[in-house]
Amino acid sequence: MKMINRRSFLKGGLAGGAAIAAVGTSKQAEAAGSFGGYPDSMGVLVDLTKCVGCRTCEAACNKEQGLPAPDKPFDDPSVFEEKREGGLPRRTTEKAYTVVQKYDVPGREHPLFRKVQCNHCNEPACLTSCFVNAYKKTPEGAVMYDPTVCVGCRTCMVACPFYIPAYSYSSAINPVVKKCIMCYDTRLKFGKPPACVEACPQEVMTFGKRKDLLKLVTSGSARSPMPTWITCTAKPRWAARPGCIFPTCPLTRSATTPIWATSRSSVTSRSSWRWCPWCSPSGLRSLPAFIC
Amino acid sequence: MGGRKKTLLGMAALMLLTAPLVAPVWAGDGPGTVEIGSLATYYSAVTFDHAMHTGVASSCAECHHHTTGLAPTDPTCARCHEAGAKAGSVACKDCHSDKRFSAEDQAKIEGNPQLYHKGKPGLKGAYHRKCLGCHTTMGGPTGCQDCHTRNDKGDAFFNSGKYAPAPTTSAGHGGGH
Repeated sequence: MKMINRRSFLKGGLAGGAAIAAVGTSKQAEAAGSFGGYPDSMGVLVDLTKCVGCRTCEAACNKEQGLPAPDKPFDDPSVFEEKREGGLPRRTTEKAYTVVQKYDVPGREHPLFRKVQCNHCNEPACLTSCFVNAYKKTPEGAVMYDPTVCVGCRTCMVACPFYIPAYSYSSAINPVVKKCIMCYDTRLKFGKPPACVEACPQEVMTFGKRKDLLKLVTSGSARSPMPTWITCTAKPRWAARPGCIFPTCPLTRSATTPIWATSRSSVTSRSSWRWCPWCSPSGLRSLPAFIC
Repeated sequence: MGGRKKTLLGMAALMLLTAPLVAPVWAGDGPGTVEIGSLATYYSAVTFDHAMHTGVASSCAECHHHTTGLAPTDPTCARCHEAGAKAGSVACKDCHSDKRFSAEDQAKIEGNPQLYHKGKPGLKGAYHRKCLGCHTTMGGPTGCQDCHTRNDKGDAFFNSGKYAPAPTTSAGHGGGH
């Protein structure tokens, strides 16, 4: 074997590395937060100013997805007072893919009701975190989950900034993650709106092509023009753009700290957070709509 | 009776008879009650007291937008719409679709690039937003069953009434319910 001396080895290594760097970068490689969604994907625009907390959406979801009977009737408003550890409001569970939360916001005449469910993000954190590829963002818009490959590690539950994936703790043999699927199997595939959208008496939710819903919001025809909300729920972890942080702030874990990060770099720097003028208690006239 | 008196009497009678036609549209117009039941599935039909509401609303346009020919009461609407011709129908269901978000509905909206009010609510949404909107600000029934009682199918849907789950005695574990 021909002996190579150290100097030649290092020279060769440097040259090779430079060559790879010059030609090896794939054109496909993109930064996180750059997927704008499939072109014809459907979406649901939620106008929380219209929600009256009737919970018809919860009842409709329960029936559509064949979920077990709830612990309390769906017209029982005492569920809003139930608190989990840490004083947190109710969350999605294996028996409830969507729940309505109630907040008494100072300065607001009526309580604020908020429907919580999977936001079907364009770049889901759950999908990114799953090492067995159990999640899939369908072209129709729904983020689907395959229970047959799931290993039950629950990393997706940690990853989701909105604390949506629930776990079937009640099943000892085959526990799996449970969450809203936008009624994909029974409705979305056929172009029909999800059960909750159809059931809501106040038409809090509007179903349509996601790009049309965005136009509704930005044109002002919907209750509040707030494009940055869409940015946020579509790109959790605020990877690409500054924007409004969801009321249940994943970082502060408090129910009503709507904050506005003024720039990308300041998202993680709490001292730069400001009260979002749209949600701040003094100027609260409407909670922005969000799109999932 | 003299000829002149007869003419006067005749004219007076004519005026009395035609009064309803020339009286302002406002005065107690429309049906006494309306049975709103086209969407009744989980609740019974609503017996809507139209006569009472004509007394509390400031104008027909308050509920019927500008379909009666009057100018809209909402200043946002008045920016584009003014008083004018009456529409063909003032019934809610003739403009608000009862199959909102269906494929046909979506196609109709998409296929009309001139349409401004793309976010027009469907019939169920229109009823509830219109009625509850006023009731919350002016004081009126706001509970679901205040206007329409739930039927048996509704009780099953809401797991309420005789379908209510038995109350659990244990407090439940954290994060499980």
